[in-house]
Amino acid sequence: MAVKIDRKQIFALLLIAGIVALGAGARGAVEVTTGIRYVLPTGSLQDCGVKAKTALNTYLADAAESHDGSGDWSAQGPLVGSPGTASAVVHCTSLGKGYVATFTCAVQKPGSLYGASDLCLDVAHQFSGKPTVALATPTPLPTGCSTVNLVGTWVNDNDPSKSFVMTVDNSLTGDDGVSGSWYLTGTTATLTYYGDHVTTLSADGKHLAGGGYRLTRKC
Amino acid sequence: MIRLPRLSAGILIAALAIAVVAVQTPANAALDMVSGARGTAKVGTADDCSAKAKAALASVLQPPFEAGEGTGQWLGFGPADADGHSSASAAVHCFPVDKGYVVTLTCVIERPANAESATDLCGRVQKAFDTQPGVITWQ
Repeated sequence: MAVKIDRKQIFALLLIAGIVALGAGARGAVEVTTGIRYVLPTGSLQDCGVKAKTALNTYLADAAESHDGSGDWSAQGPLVGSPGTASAVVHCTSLGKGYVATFTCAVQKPGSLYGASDLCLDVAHQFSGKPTVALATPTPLPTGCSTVNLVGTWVNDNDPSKSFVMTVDNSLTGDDGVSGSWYLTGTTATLTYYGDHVTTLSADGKHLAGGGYRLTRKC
Repeated sequence: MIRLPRLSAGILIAALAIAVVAVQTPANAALDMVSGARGTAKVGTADDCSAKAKAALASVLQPPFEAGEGTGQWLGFGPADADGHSSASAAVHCFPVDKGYVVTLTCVIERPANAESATDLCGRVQKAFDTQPGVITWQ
């Protein structure tokens, strides 16, 4: 049976799809906190700047002053993990013979593995030379050809230029950026990627075959 | 009205595919964080600064809060979405210097969820804070 559809409906459909596409980027949130404020009775603005830069670069990248002599230092990161999900600013201000340093930190949730407060506490403690607590880092992917999971990079035997990355959260991502999932029961692996593909994991955990796929794990 | 039996089905599928892929694909979101202007008031108390900070943040974002009573560190967040998430925030630090105070602004925007830049947000906070032109020197 033919479906009648006019140009306005076509436009509306594409518009809805576009809106959904744009909305897909709006699922995160900013988490912002102010940290410890340090008031040092002695020391120059340059001293503060050196400490700020060092402290920021310990946890983030490319700490820089907004302009020479401003005393406003910022950096983005994290050093390891999703880029652009953590940021911090240190304001240095002369005060008498010393200076004041204030800290503001922001992280994106989800995205950052740690909170803005954790980041700010560490940056401030690094600034002042106090003990710091290691910030959370991404869980390293298991290496080796495990037979209990499919984690790793899988290369298509028929076209080595194509591969899948499968992660511990059972997600699967193809070269085209499209996400799917994997599920392993015994030696039967179901790959959901443009449909379900039932494959079999080899005894050495290195090969998947079936469902239209022949894949070899890099391990 | 046009009859597009196969094409219409194709368009439907294409639209759905775009939506599904968009939902599945992680957005390349990132934080835009800037240090805004720094203001110096030769005369005025930290309480004056806090009152201005609170009012400025409230007018630009949602009602702010002080990060610890008397700290002079104020945080404001933009409207929350349906999930309770905000994509904009600003922090105002007030602290006394001599007979006046210094105020610093820091702003954060989550891209692409929020189209405004952190610089523009800080500009709006600064403008809202600066209710008495000439009293504060901005750098």
